Amino acid sequence: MPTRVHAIIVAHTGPSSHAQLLRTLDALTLQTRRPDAVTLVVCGDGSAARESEAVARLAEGIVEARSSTSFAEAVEIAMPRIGGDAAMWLLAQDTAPHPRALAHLAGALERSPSATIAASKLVDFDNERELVSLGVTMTTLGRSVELAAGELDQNQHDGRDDALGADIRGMLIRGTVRDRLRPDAALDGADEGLDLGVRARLGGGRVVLAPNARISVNPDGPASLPQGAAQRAYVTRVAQLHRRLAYAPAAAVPLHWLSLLPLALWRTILHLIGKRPASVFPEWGAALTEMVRVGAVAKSRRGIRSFRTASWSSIAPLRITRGQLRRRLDDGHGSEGGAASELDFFSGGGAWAVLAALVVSIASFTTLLAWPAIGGGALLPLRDTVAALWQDAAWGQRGLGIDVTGPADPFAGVIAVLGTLWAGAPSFAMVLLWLLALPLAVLGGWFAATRITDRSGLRIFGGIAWALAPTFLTALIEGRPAAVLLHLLLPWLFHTAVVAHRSWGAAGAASLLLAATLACAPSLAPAIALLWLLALIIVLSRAWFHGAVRLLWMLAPTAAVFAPLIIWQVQRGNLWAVFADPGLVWAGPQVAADSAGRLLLASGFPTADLAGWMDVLDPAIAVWAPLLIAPLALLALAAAVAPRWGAGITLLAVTMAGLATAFMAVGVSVSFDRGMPVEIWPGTGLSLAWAGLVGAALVTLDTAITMPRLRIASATVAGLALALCALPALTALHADRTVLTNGPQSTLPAYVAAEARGDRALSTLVLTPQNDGGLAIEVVWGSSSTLGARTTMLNTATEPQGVDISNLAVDLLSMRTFDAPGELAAHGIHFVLLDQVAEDESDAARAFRVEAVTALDQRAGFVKVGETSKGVLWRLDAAAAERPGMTRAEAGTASAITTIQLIVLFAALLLAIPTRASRRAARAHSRIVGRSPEEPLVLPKRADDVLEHGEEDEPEPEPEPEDATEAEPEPDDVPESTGAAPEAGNAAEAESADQEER
Amino acid sequence: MTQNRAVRVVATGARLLVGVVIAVACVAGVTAAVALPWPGSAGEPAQVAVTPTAGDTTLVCTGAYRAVGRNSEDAAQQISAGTPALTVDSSGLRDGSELVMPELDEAAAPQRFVASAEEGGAALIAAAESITLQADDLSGLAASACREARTESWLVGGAVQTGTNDLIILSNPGDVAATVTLTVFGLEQTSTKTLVPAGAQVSVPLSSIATGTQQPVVRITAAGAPVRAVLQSSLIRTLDPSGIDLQDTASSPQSDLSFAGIQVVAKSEDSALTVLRLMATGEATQARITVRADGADVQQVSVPLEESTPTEVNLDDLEPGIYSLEVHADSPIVGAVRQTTRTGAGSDFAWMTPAPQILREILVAIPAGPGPRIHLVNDGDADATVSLAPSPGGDGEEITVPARGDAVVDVSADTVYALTSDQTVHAAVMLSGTDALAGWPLWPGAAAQEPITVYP
Repeated sequence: MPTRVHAIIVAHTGPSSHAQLLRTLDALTLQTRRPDAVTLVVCGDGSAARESEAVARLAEGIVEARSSTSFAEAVEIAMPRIGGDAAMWLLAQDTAPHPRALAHLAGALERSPSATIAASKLVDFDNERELVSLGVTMTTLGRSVELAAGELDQNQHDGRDDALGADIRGMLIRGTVRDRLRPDAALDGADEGLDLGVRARLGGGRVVLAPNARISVNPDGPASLPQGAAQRAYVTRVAQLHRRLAYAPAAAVPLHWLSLLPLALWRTILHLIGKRPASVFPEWGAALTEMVRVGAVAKSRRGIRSFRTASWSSIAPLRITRGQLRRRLDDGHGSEGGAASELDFFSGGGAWAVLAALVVSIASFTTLLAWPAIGGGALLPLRDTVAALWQDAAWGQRGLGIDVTGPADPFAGVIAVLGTLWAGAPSFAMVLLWLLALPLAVLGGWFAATRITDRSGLRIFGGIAWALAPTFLTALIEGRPAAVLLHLLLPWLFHTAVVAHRSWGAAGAASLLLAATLACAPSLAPAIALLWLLALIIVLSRAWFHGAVRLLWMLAPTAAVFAPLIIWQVQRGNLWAVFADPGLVWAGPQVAADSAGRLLLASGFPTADLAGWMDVLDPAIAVWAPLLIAPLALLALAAAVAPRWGAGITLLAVTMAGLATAFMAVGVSVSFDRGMPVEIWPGTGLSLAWAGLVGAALVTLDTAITMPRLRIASATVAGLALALCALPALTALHADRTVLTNGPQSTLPAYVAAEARGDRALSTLVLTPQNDGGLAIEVVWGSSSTLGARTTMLNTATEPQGVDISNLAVDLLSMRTFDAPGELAAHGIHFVLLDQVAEDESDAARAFRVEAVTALDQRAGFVKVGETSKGVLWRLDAAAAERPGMTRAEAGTASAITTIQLIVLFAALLLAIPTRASRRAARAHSRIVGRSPEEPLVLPKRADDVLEHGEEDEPEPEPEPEDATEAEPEPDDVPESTGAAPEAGNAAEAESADQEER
Repeated sequence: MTQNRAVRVVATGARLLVGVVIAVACVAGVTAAVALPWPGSAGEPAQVAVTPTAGDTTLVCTGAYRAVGRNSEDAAQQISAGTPALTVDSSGLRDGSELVMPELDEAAAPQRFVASAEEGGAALIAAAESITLQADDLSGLAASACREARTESWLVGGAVQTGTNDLIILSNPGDVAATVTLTVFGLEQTSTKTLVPAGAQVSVPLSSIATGTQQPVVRITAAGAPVRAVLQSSLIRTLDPSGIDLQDTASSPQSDLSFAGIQVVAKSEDSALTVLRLMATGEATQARITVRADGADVQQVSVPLEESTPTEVNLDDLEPGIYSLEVHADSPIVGAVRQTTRTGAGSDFAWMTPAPQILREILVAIPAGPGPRIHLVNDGDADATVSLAPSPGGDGEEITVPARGDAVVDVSADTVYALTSDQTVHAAVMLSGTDALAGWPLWPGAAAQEPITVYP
């Protein structure tokens, strides 16, 4: 005699749910073997169900539950209504069984006495050929694995009848075990079927698959996983952690509990590397939830214990092994669709261009090869030790002044990274930077050009044009490290930011590069913010919300590193000082803030000597040197009418933003060189403008000039003009027309440098009589004033910072008799250095200096060390006080700020690490951003040449397969293909799925 | 098909038009941005004005007038030609002591006065000395104030041609020896170093360091200890002595020089009696010279100055009287004015150095000598009230110096006055008699220390 079957249907309220419910009820009436009783559990208002005739005809009872009731809880509520030994059939509103489904399920239970649960084959409601679930198992570590989900149903799995678990939808549970095999509500809606299967097996039974029992399911039913990715990640993780705690031996439970947070941290790192930042918060949420649900764990464990008869080893054969897992994994090879061709860095000649630039660089800066450190201009030595470099980059005591504690300039972080690259002698890293600047600029320009053109010749032209920018060469020969670094970083920012909306990898890299770029040139912030907003508007207008979130993330590292400094400056009402150039403030040559100066800026030159032309030619002739930029500028202007006009116009907008920045910067002085206001260096704005200019010229060359010969000729003329323009700058070092000097390795006399070697906390009071009769004072800690220790806290100060020792310094030089060494030593000062202004010392300054020497010579307790090229040095007889550490509050602030900054930067770094999946996802899109349908198609070399014709006169077929309507290239961030992002995400998930559990 | 084509042509045309408009707008925008004014901003740097604490004031006098060449066997031997009369007073305690003169065997040693600083500032002290000689080789009046030693002094004056016997007298009142660098500016620039022992006075003949220089300017830089430099000059025309002078250091280089108390005793047609010597210390510049008397411009001259090359300007055609002089240049200059009583033998001359600004109270010492007067010049835009009272505690008089005007006050010889001004004025002491001429500017006391701007 067949067993009785009692079906439980869990339904939500709402019109669409009701329609699904009626469909399910219809399917039940069509069953060849009808369930003996049906109980309907309505989560929410059940009036609609009560009024329904179909429900009344079938259901023996209707139970109302709260709308937040989960599937497992709903089943729990309905179970008392099941009478006798009736088997329980678990259904939801959306599970429409095929006519013979129940017959097959019941038959499976009858045929196999050991089976306690019969599971059906779930197929997609809309496409019944697609499998949703047929058997579930788990890995050795407990992660649930669907055995056949997402596959095309060709009955290929129908031979299998044994599985560890199955999806809970459509499960038929034998009446004898029904009461002890209840769905566990603590699983939060995931893995309930797997859990039932495990428990059934522990109770000596098994799950039998009935592949002929087909049930159509919708993806949004009460028993399916949540639709949102974050929610789904949360419930699956909660379920997994809960099962882990429930299944583990009692002794191991505390260990598992303790491991929850460390595991969450580790998996956060894996999520970030796997470009799944959306899973990070669910991960922590799941770990914290599971940590506090001790009661639920105990209850689940009790449930297992009460039913268990077999040993845990009985389920081992049904777990999926690593070998099987690996075989099952589709690594997505070939899914990229071949949209992007090979990079062709080597075969396309990019590597040769970089090599050639290295040769030119070494020929131009030959003498640098022998220099241990580079000086002159705004260059300074770096710290002796890596530890001190990083200390300068963190919130805390600054390397200058007495008791000056506060935020570090983000630029100090860039310097720390640079110095760490040559950890033995960080100052030499700066020499290397100068030697490698040209090849690195070509490299960066080449990669940035890959976003505009696929033609290898034009990419090389882009790299060379970027490296020969007059503003870059001027920064090199004038010794402006921040501007040089900016010019090297900018193309990489372009390269990554224009595709930041596409993938998390690009967004992570772009966010780091943006922070580094703005650290080198905070004055670019308004222009870049403008471009960022433009990008955000474009992305939002196309409803690419994933892209918008990635664009938002781009600002996170920048915000983290700049926030302390901004807050500090705002507290002092000096917000504009945030835009001050970092590093040494140097009143070097730069154009004046008048029309003549702006004309020079508009022609690309940040100084009045026109990158050296004024020195090598008669000024009357040299003023025409900017004409050499004209070919490039004309090509750039033509981009507005090029077929890829969207990209062209956006790049012209970048140029305008850069020029506006330069025009503005040259009249704004927020930092001071020993009391003298110094304007912001306009060359960084010109670098941004140059990026737009070269990019726009490439757009014209790539799309507007279709005749190959004309294209080659134009690029050659523009390139040769730039090369000619660069000659005076490239020969400047040999002709001794630069301010670059060999060393010094320390700005202080060798005696101090030797005493303070290794960045010992010795301090030197440096007194410099000024040309206006004033006196500049500075307290330098360590063996030298260094680039990283310079701080805009002091450079932009309008009030004395820290402990003001102005009075003491003047008294030192006056006739007053007092314990001068004692007072200096109390401030921790070890040495007094009387320096002189670098050049053109006025009579007032010289007279002051001579008087000062006389005054200090006559002071008791001052031991004259000697007159050096760096000034007259005295050592104090008195024992100097130790430098006081930070107060508790300051130390707390420092560690909190540093921790937050490190977390954000580390997250960005993890996002930026390329993985196999992310690289493959990136290859699914064209490298070029902002193609428009009107432009002629350039096919990769390997493609068939036959296709090349016909595109220009026959525009009806869209030349761009992926996203042809798109025309908004935006150098900062450019959205490009809509469908791309989710696919990329999926591919990344699939790839790293196997790593997740470790 | 044709419709499609038409749509395409229109779309392309529109696109091209928009592109051209944008390209033109870019060019026009940049052109406009270049031409139009942009807002600029400059903040105020952190700075602290600190007034140095006053110390003791040490005045050094010159002492015996040195005669050279009186011994035919040793032409370089120096002997004392006479001891000057000294006038000194101070507001508080003062110590007097003597410096040694290694080159003179037996002579009145130069005096050193130290006025201790009082609470609230430096002590006021003033001293001056004068000497009148009527010898075969030296005649005339020489007088000067006693001054503090300095680390840098400028001597603008002197000559090295035949008949002159100019000595640079260096006094070191300190306790350590000073290394003095004498840099002579002329057609070429030469430097000499000499050592001045502690508490000693030595002399350096100008002819030994400035050979061949017609119009020397000497910069004296002391290291180790400050020194006082004075130029003692004398002139013999043919065989007749024609004047002696003690010239104090000029003020440090500045772009504006003011002279007070320029005396013109006689008008001469053939030879310049009043000569201004100028030198630009930094870079070449144009000096605009204005001679003023009784509040009116008398003469205006403009001369180009080359860098580090002394230039002399004759101020001819001045009626006898008392003048003030203003020199404006675009870069720092030094200068002094040479005044002569008349042409011919037996006359006297005196160098007048620029008068710095004085404000509030100072002491003025008037030494013994003929016709002592004080010339007060107000180049400000407000009338200045100057009170002058003999010290200590005499009855004073109030003098109003009109804006852009001047005033001359007769004073008593061998008296110390307290001079107080409520506005910044320039002032000089003048002595004049028959073939006797001397003068020097008044300096602010140590109490009026300028605050130093410190850039921390």
